[in-house]
This record gives sequence, C-alpha cells and structure tokens, in this order.
Amino acid sequence: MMLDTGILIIGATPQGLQAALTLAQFGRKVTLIDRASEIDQTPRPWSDKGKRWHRYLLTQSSYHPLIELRTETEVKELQDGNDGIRAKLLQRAQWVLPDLCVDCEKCLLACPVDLSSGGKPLFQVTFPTSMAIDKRKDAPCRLACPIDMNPQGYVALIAQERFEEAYDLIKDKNPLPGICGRICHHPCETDCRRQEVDEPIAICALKRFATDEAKKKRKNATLAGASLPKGPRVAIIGSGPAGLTAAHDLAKAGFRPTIIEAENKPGGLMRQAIAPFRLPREILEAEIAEILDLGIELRLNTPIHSLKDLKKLMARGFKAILLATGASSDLSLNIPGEDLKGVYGCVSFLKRLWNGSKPSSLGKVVVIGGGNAAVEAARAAIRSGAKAVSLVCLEKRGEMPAWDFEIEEALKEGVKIINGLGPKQFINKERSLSAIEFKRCTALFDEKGVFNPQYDETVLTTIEAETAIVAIGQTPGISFIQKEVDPSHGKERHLRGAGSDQIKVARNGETNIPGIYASGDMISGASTVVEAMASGRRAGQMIIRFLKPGEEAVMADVSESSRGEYQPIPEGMPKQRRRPLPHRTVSERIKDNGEVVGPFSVKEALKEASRCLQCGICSECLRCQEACELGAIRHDRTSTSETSYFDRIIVADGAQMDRKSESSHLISMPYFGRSASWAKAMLAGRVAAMEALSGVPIVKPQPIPRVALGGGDMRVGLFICSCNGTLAGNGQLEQMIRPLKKISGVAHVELLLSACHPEKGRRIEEAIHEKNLNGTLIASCTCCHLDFVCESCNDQRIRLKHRLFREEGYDPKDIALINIKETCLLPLKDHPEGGMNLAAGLIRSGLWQLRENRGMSLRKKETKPQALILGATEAGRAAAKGLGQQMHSVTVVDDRRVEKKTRMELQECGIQVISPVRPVRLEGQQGDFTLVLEKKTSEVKPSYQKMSAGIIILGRNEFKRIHYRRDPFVRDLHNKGILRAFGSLETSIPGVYMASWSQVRHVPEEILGKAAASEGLEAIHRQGESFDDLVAYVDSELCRGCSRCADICPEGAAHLQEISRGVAASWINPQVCTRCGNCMAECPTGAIFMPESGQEYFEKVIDVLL
Amino acid sequence: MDQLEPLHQIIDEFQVFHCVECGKCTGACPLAQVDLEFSPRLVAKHVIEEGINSPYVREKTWFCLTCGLCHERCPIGIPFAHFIRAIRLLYAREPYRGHLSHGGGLQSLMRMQAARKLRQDRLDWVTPELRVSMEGEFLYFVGCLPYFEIFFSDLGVSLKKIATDTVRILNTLGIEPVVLSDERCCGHDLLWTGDEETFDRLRQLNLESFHKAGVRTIITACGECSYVLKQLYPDSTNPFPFEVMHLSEFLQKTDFPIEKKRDRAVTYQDPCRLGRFQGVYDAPRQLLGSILELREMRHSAAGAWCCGNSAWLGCDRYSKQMQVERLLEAQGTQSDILVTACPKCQVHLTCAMRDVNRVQDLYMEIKDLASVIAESLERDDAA
Amino acid sequence: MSSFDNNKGPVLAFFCNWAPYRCLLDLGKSGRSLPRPIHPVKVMCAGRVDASILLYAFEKGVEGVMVIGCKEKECRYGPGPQHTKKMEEHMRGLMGVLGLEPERFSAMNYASSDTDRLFMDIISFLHSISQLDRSPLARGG
Repeated sequence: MMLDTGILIIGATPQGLQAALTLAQFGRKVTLIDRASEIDQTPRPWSDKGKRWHRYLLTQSSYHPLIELRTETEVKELQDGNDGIRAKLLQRAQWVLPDLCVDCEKCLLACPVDLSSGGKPLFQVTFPTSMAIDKRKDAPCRLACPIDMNPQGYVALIAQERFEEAYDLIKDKNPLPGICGRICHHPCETDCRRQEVDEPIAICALKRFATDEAKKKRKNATLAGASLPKGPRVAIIGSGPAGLTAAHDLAKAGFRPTIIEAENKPGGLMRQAIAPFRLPREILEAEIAEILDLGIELRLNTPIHSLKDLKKLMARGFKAILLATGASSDLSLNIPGEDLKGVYGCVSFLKRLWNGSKPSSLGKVVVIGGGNAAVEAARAAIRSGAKAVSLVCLEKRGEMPAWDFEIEEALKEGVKIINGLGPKQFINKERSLSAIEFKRCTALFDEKGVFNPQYDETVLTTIEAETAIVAIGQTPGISFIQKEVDPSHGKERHLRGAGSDQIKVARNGETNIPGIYASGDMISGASTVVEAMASGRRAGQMIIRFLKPGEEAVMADVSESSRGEYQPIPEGMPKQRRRPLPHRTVSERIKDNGEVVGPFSVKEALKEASRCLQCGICSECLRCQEACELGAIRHDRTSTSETSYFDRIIVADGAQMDRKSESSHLISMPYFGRSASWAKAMLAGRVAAMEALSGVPIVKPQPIPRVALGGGDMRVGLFICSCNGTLAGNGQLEQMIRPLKKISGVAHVELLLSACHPEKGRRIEEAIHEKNLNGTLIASCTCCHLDFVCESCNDQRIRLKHRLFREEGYDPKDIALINIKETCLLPLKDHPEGGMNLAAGLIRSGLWQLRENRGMSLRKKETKPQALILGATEAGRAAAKGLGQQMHSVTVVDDRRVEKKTRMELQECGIQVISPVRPVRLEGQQGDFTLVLEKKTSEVKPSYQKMSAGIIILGRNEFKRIHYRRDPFVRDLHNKGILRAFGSLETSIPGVYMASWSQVRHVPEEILGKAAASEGLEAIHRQGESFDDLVAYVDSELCRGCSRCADICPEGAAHLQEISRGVAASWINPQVCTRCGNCMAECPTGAIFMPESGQEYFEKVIDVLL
Repeated sequence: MDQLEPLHQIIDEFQVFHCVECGKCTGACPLAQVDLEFSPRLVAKHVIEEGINSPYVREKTWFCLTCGLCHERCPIGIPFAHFIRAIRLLYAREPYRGHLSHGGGLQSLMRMQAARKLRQDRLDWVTPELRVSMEGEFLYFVGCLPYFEIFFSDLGVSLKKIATDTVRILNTLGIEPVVLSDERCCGHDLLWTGDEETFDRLRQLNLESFHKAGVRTIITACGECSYVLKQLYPDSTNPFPFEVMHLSEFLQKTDFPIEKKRDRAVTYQDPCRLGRFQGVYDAPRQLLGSILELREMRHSAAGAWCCGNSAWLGCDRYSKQMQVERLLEAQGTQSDILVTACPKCQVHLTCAMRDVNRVQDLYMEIKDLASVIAESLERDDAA
Repeated sequence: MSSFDNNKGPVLAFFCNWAPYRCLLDLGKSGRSLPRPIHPVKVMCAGRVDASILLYAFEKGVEGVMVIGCKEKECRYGPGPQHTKKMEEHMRGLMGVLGLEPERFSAMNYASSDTDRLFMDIISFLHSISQLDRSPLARGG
C-alpha cells in the first residue's frame, strides 16, 4: 500500500476540513483543494458553536504539516489506476500568494484605482488571510492602444496626483510620450467606455499633462545609466517614430542600435511634416535626445542609395538592418501644369517651411486634398503670410478624412473650405501659377466601392492661386532601393516590393533578404505616428528574437483564465462633461507657430482623470507589486496544472465534482452539501476519514523534538515586527526599541520587516543561533501560544507559531509572543506616542514573564494504548472496528450477553469481547482510566475485575450513569454522571466518548460509532503533537487542598491527590488543562501558577502600563 | 552594606544575642510542628551570624506566624514576634515580601485606605434599631469588618454581625457609640508585612478623626485593632488622650447584666494579639463562663495555638494542617461552639473546615465573643 | 476621542482571549482608533480576573476598569461568565465601601461579532468616567 501518495479531498467545506484534519492527525498526507479563493464561509444557519468549530478546523488544518491546502483549484480529470487514482489539478493564477502575504495592506495604499463602488481592486480574503485582486478583461483603452500602453493605470495615478508615477508608467511602454500626448490620434479615446455615459476621457491630453508635470519636476535630474550597451549592432534606416521606437527597444534589450538618417536632423515626418504649432520642436528634440541617451548612435546626412549600401552595412558588422524610412514622398495629381513654379507637394512644402527655406511670398494659397496633411498645410500656410488660404477637396464636408476638430480649428483660423471639386489643370501666367481649374466631383467611389472619383467635366470652376499645395497623400519613397542586378550571380536580385510603393515583408516584418527588416509606413503605407511606433516595436521584437533566439518579448502576456468580464456601468451614473483644453485665441495664434493647444491645469486634470470608469478593475499599473517588498504580489503569474497520484479521493462538496466518475477510490460523504447542520457535517467528515483509512496502518506522528534554549543568565532576543514597514512611520519603532536595549538580560534587539514571512522571519532563528539566545520575545500581531485553536488566529500568526514551535520545536516557555499591532499601534495610530508607550509596556511585561517562565517544566502524561468500548451495540461495534485497525488492544464489554455471531465478527478483527459483566465504576483520567467490572458469577458474592484504558467509548446511553471518580483518594466527589461536552462526541470527562448524540437526528448508529472512534484516536494522537502546553500547575506546598479549583475546573483537569497521609493537594493534569485560569482566581493561597496568568504577572502589566 | 547598622540596632533592641539556643521556642512553635524546617531559634541564629541576606532568614521570616508563643516559652524572654516584625521592615524595599494570600487583595484594600482623598462609606451594616452617633465619648472602632463581610462572603461567615452585636451590647449599656463612616484600617497587617510608611499614614488619619469626633474611650471587638490602637498608636511626641479597650475588657469594667444560662458548652480560641500581646485572657473567659459552660482546649490562654495565619501571609498546606489540628482540639472539648474574639481567627478556622474528605470531622459552629454575648441578651429579651 | 485624553488617568480593559479579543483585533484592523486612556490587557478567560487584580489596579490609580468577557453559555471553558458575575458582585460591594463610584467598573459580555457594540460601550464607559472627578487614589492625587 503506497502511503506517500496521500489522499485528495475535493472541497474545503467544513466536512472536508474535518476529514483532512482527522486524516492528518493519523499521519496521512492530505491535499485539500477548493474552487473558491476564500474558504471560510460558514454556512449561514449555523450557531456560534458551529462557527467556532469551523474556525477551529480552518486554523488547525491551514498549517498542518501534512495538509496541503490549495485554493482556486479544481479537478480537471480523473483517471482510475489499479491501486490509486490519477487526478489533473488546475490552479488558477494567484496574483497574491497567501503563503507570502503578511496582511500589511501596503498594496492597498499603493493602489491608485478607486472604484465607483468605493472599494479597490485589492480586497481582503479572510481565510487564508491574504489579499486578492479583482482582474477583468483589459480595459478597452488599453486594448485599443497599438503600443499596449496602460491608460487606465496612468489615468488612475493622475487622479491621485501621482503624476511622476503616471509618467513612469507611460514611459514604460511609450518612448515618445510628449509627442503622443499632442499628436496621437488616440484610438483609446475612440473605444473609451465612458462615452456610453457622456464623453470619452481625454486620455491623450492627460498623457501630455503627466509628461509635462514629470518633466518639470525632473528638469535637472541627470538621465540615469547611459551605460553603452554591448550587444550586437543593428542599423536602423530612418529616425521617424518607427525607427526611434525600434532603436529604443533594442537599446533597452542590450543591443547597439545605430540610426542612419538621410536628413540633417532626426525625427522623420514628425519633424518634416508635423507643424510646430501642434508639436513644438523642443518637445521633439528632448524626447529624441532622451532615446539617444540610451547609448544609440545617430548618423545624419547619410542617405542609403541602394541594396549595395545595405550589404556594406552588413559587412561592417551590423547583424541586422531595419528599414524605417516611412512614407515621405508626395503623390502627384499627374495633371497639366503640375510642374509649374508655385505648385508644391504637401510634404516638400512643409519640409521647406520648417527648414526655414520657405518661398518668398505665398500670395493666395490653395490646398488640394481633404486629409489631415492638407488641413495641416492650410493652417501652416495661414501662419506663413499667405493672403488667403482655401482648401479644396473632392469629398463633401462630412466625408473629409481629416479629423473634425482639426477642420474646426482650420476654419476658425480663416481657412476657406470648398468641397466637391477635383483639380483639372494648373493655369499659368508667365510660367508661374495664377489659377487652378476644378471640375465637379459627382461620386467618390465606384459601384464596387473602390475609390474612383467620377467627374462632371461640364461644370468648371476656376480659383485664383499663387501657391498650390497638393496634399493627396504620401508614399514610401523607396526609390533609393531600385531594382538592380546582383553582379555576383548575374541574376536579378532585389528587395521584394522595391520600386512599387511598398516593401513586401513576411508576417514577422522580415524582407526576403535575411537580416533585413522593414517597418512603419514603408510597409503599411502612410498611417499615424503611434501605428508607426507599434510597427517599429514589432520589428524590434523580431530583430531581438532573430539575434537572440529564445529571448523573451518585452510584453509578457498574462493568462486570462482567472479574469472576469467588465462590470456593467451603474444605472443613473451622473453625467460629467469632458474637460475642455485651453486654446490660444485665433488672432493670437495665427501670428506665429507657437503651440495652439494648452495643457490641462492641475485642477482640471484631476477632474478629468477622476471621470474614468476603471473598466478593468485592476489596472495592472503594478504599483502594488512594487510596494510589496515581500514578493507576495506578481501580476504575471499564470494558471498552473499538474497531475498527481492519490490512493483515495474524498468528495466533500458535490458541487465541485462535475464529472460523475465511477471509481472504487472515490469516497463520497454522507450529508452532502453546505446545508447540513454542523454536527452532521462533523460526523460526515470523520466518517469519510475513517473510510479513507480503512486497511491503512496509521503512522503515529512523532512528538515534536523540543529544542531547549540554553540556561544560565537571561539572554533575551527582542524582535519587533514592522509588518512590512506599515506599523509606524519615520523611525518611531527604532525610537521605541532604543530604551529596551538597555534592559538587563536583553542581548539582542532587532526590527523585522516581517516575523511571519517565510524568509524574512528566518532572522529570528538565525539570531537565536548567532547570539545563542536563551529567550525570545516577538512583538508582532501574534498574541498567544495556543495551538491555533483560537478564533482570532489568522494565517500570519499561525504561520509564525507553526514555524517556531512545530518546525523549529522551540519550547513555548522560552518564547513570549505579544500583539502590538492590533492592540497598540493600529488602534492608536492617531496618537503614535501613546501606541508606542503601550507597546513598550507590553514588551516589558512580556520580558518579565519570560523570566518567570524559566522555572516551569512542561509535564506530559503517557496515554495507555488500550481502548475500552462499553456496549456491543451497532455503534459500539462500529467504534470497536474503527479502533481495531489502529490500536493494539481494543476490548468491548457489555452487561448483556453478546450473541455468538457478533462475538465472532468482532474477534476476527482482533477485538476482545467480555460479557456479561457490569461496569460498576470508572476512575482516573484521560490516558489512564480504570474500569471496575462486576462479573456475574453463579456464586453469591460477585467477583470484581479492573481494566485500564487510555480512552473509553460508551456504546449505549445507560452507561452515562456510571459512577465516575476522578481520583480514588477523594470520597464522593464529582459524581454528577457523565455529561455531553461542547462540540463533539467527547463527554464532560475528557477521554470518554459517547457513540450517540442527541444533537443530530436520523444518524445511523454505525456512523456515530465510527466518529467516536476517530475522536478517540485523535485524542491519543494529539498528545505530544500539540505545542500548546503552557498549562497551570499547583505548588503542593502552598495548596490547602480545599478543592475550590477542582470544583470550578471546567475540564476536570484539577483534582485532589493524597500527598501524605490524610493531606490532600490539588494536581492539574497537563493533558487536560485548557489554561483558562479560573482556578487561579478561586485559589485563596495563590498555589496555582501559569504563564501570563499569575497575580504577579497582572501586577507587572498594570505597573508597566501605568 | 547599609542594612547592617539598623540590623544591629534591632538585635540589640530585642536582645536576640542573649539566645541560649535551648530550642524551647521551636518545641512550642505551632508552625514548627508541621513545617519541620522552621525554627525561631535558627532564624535568630542566622540573623546574628549572616544578617538578613541569609536565604534561610529571607524565607522563614515571612513564614513566622508572629503568634508570640515562643516569646511565652523563651527563658530569656526574647520578643520574637516583634523581632520578626522589625526584620520584615528591613525587607521593605525587597521584591519578595512573603507569599500573600488572596492575591494580595486585602493588602491593596488596606493601602487604599491610606489615601486621604478617599471617602469611604463603611456604615451600611448599621441597621435602624441600632443607636449610633457622629460624636461623643465612646467610639466603637469597627475595623475591617465591612470589607471582610464582602471579601469572605463565600465562606458563609457573617462578620458584620460582630459589629451589629457589639453596638447592640453597648446600646443596652445606654451607650450610643460613635462609628466612623470613613474610619481607616488600623494598619496592623501592613505593619506586619513590612510597610511601616503606609501604617503611619493610616494611624495619622485615624487619630485625626478620633480627635474630630471628640472621643475619650475607644472600644474594639478585634484583638488586633485593640492591640495596635492601644500600644502602637501612641508615640512619645504627641499626647494620646484615648483609652483603648477590647470589648471584653470594657464589659468587665461595667456592670453588665449577665444572665447565667449554662445550657451550651463553648470553647475559646485566644487571639494572639488579644492574649499574648495584651495579656487579656480572663475578661473573655469570665464573660463566656458566666453565660455558657466554658471548656478549655489543650493549648489555651498563654499557650493557645494560633489560628494559622496572620497578616494574610503564607497561607499554605502548613497553616491548613495547623488549623485542622486546632479544630480537632476544639472538637476534642466536646463543645457546641468555638468562640473567638478576632474576626480573622473566625475566617481562618472556617476556611479550614472546607476539606473534601473531612467536612464531617471538622465542622463546628464558630462565633465571635460579641455575638455570644449579644445572643444572651436576646434570650433575656425573649424571657 | 480627544475629549477623553484630558489628562485623565488610564483605564484598564481586560479582554478575554476569545470573543472579546477577536472584537479588539477587528477593531484594530478596522482602524477605529481606541480612545487613548484605554489599556487593553489580554486574559485567557474573563473568569481569571479576580477582585485582587482589580483592587491592585485601583490602588495604582486607574480611573476605571472594564472586564470584557464572552457571553453566557458561549464561554469556551464554561465557568467564565458566571465567575465574572460573582466577582462583579464582590467588586461592586467593595467599591461601595471604599466609596468609589460604580461608574468606574463594568463587566460586560460579547460575542465575536459584537465589535461595534463593544466599541460603543467603551466610548460610553469612558464618557461616564470623564464626568467624574479623578480617582481619589490617582497618582499625585
């Protein structure tokens, strides 16, 4: 039988937890999975007792060494094997790992997103105590952005006045934020969901705002790390948006890009075509400079003429070449008179304009074309002293491809727009332009919908013009790579697409010549800046992959399996208009080329940013990831699936077991579902566990090896947990601990980032060794030595205690645990000094207690390995069998005659049966009971027999009335009969169990029997396995034997013993004591001692607090 | 070391170095009967040889019952109990000052009463039929009864009855005693746990209110109170214009109407502070004897055994054993009632009866002297 | 809160380790600031807190004491609440004789879900204390 494979439990329902715990306590490895991220939903109708029991199960199982708890996990498929079953488990992406989360809520503070619901994308999960992140589909703005910027993120940051962080987030994806902030055609705004309410967010303008603000702040900040990259060299032809972006990405990836530019200044069309009044040159210069500062070489005035030139570059050691020359040559009309003086192509016109070599006088200007370029040219002309500027285009007003707001501005500036005309010819007067003749355009597209304008030649219009600007579009001017014959082998060898208007590339951007890539307008035809950047980026990635195979792409794609849909926009969402941007007055702005559109004011920007709907909930701005120095949060975690082998599977939640699988290894529970009463749920769990155990010999867990810290003078180590630096700001904690260092006996004081964190917390153990400390005080959120039975315990506390007392096996009395988080520092954060004083006080009293504890010895009592079952009822028999597999000696006694059949059946399982005998009296305590039996013999006077046992199970209710005596010495004391205790089949006498339960109806006796057996076994196993053993003990010198303690003790742990003839003194059974301290309150002489409960302790606490 | 000087003074003052180590003290000491390590002689010896830092002294000083029985037996007459008191004062600044019973709660109560600002409300035991006054010649010093009444309510002893009975007795004599609502503890227990400072404050406050009430005679129903007021309150500097008497002494002086009815037998437990410390043995006996049939225990009068504790110190297995012994002695007299003249004796002996296995053997009715007398009056009324 | 830290002495609050301590922790977590004079002290069970501890506290000059335990029948151990009741009786009696105002002491029971009620009770307790003069046993008083 393979033991190491363990048992899989599906569904961390209460019954599932109970089963897991029972199995683990019998030394079985358990994997407990649940679909949910949170497993502490106690079923509604349950009583507080039920809730407490559930809490107990959660805390107990969450860090049991043998239980592996996996939330957000489900079974994908099952496969039956001959002695086990194979299960494929899928665990959804866990962006926050509960095992690393210390519950400090730092991430919450870092998160910029405020949801309209009032919450944040991060929310608290109570069990396992941790944070979780609500992620939906990426926000539409982000999806729309060609270069995958994160508008939701930076808009949220801006809304919180965190402008520089916003800028960094922008810069992370966009090397030209200032430029895009002005001239991007912002598809993000087109898709913005806010327009379903009113108007889209002014994302573009906000980007510009953040950039400007950040630049202001960082004006004199020296650019970081211009360490020249060492990687392979790459040549990039063209310094437009595509080229720059590629260069930027390559440099960041550690390559050595060289930008080769034909013109005398970098920037490509951004400089040649785009007007300064839309894109001020200083912005352009600055951002190009920033990119070059990454260690990029720029060669100006270096035109490439032919494929040969490219080959030369290759020969000079460039491992790859990226063609990014854009589309900068104007298309021409091919109509008469186009060669006349005064007729310009759009780009060539603007180029001359911006290079300062503008024609002497423009006179009347007519711009031909309806696109943005045309409008741009028109507005430029207005500013260049044109008498009048009119824009003539084929399209009707509504059909013009130019953006409306551009047209609006143009009109305001006095551009006259004439629609529906197509040029026929340029009319000349002494070899220079005088007028243009237009024909009427009747249709733009033919019936096939192809652009193919139809004209009515009969209606002609003539418009006077000294200057004409033909702005009907551009084409990649790749004339420089003409078809040419490769001399090496007289075959025609050329760049595919060369000579046509676009380079032909494979999907990965590679041309037909290996190592030569193309990007930007020259492959897509004229488009926008951001499209060009995107294409430049893609090509860059391709080159990276080409030169460094296996190199990860910059943009890692996160698995979507754990993400949800957008939240619907709440009804009646108040409308807020999009904030307008300030514009210079027309009369002002047309005088020069200064920027027309002004930036948002801070106030306006905040208003605008706060309109965002936060579509994706989590914006993935990664602020939380940075905030969490403990590495609990990673946004790029993905779902994982693994297949493992189990020898049994318990289905504890039908709902999570979609596939009805017929397997002999599958155990399904009675009383399925969360509707079961807590009592039934508990039985179900126990029974399923027993089921899974049947035929498996149990492994008795080894008691924790105690590491006793050395004796001698106190050498205490003080560890103060700052809970990831959230507990107190600016060195307050350091201040607090300074005086503590001076206390005698304190050998080491240390401020911890986190005490419960698996790695950071290790400092404690290290320090204990380094400084060989013999006492330790940990001031954190952990508040007691209890073995996680308390309802205020959470994952973090459990994790720490588990590590110290289970893994390291330290003696609880050597380690004081003090909660300064919730008791002082959080509640008193308004008065830090008050909180600090309180904390210091608690720490001092803890130190004192540590001293006091040294005297204490932890006495354990061995448990007798026998079990006794009273009553051979069905329940009794079930219990006997359950125990029979696991214990050496099990005996069933009954005052009624047990018929042969049953007797045989039991004896086969190695169970001894004695009947008929009458149990007269029960004596002793858990682990060491003595049962006195009266043998019904034929003679007159009966014979008596004594049997001892570690645990007792009552198979029939009558036995409740058995005469019980805790200690033979005491005459007629505590003889109330046996009562039911809380929450289990255990009775008021620890170690005695009842195989019946008034609390649950219609439960087969057999189940009760099994459950009782499992509880009994647990009781035996718990011993030595629990570290919760700082119990009360009695100083018999001081004890008056008045039995007040014995009377009040709820567990019956305290009882009297004869210490010398006739003299009684109390003794408290460490196995049973639950350290409530009520006995100490009752004791008149103060004979009872217990850590953190003695009169002196409280006096000390009071003294230090006041 | 600085304790040396005062220590020598103490040794001189109490003539401890005269000890001839005859061991009579140990033979007599009730504690030594059960705690075999304890011996007054050895304590004295260690003090002389090693001073108060000897571990033995440090521990045993706090065990001593200060019942003064050894003093009775000592051929030289060393006042051991007072010697111990003096030593304890030297320990005043030490962290360990004996194992206080009841979590030191009673000491807290006493120390609290030393706060001048405190305004106690002690008089809720004064029932309408009792006649008391705010000022006058006679003062009844009630002592801690109002507190004990509550503190020991679980024991089933009614201690405030002592107070009511005392007043009733005085009323029959036509005396309407002054009772102070803000009377302070006499300070005995604090003094005997080494806290002289607080004792002085209590003394001060009490004397002030005595003067204010313009009393001449102070009557107490408690051996300790009468001892402390009589012998420790007066000092050389200030006049002490008060006569302090235990109820029994007072009644002896007056022509108190006593009905001789010897229908029941009683035995009498001498409180150390009343008996050995003040030599008041006969007064209570005469009173008792005249009302009921008095039977003496084996150890009685000057040789009487202690009730097992003093000053709420060192209550433990040994004191229990002593108390059991004492109760058995009382049982041995075949009396119906065990009478004592100190509420603490009553508390301690009653507590000792609470024993899982010996309730039957140990149970005995315990009454205060005052109550016995008062009841005799009632029976007169009845007659 | 500020109305409470008018140089009044401290107030001691004994929290049972179970329901009440849970409330206290929740309170802390919820960031609701405890009024300054409150000094929480954890005990395993309110039943442990006996008169002597409280007397000592008063002797040391606390302005008031709260003993905060679990609800009747919800005590994890059993005797706690009844025990506290008995202690309360004694304590009130003793305070009566001592002449300490009854407002200075309260013993209350809560379930682990009663965080808000606990908070309100603490506030009102402190309020009623702030109405009184300083304790006659207060330091320097």
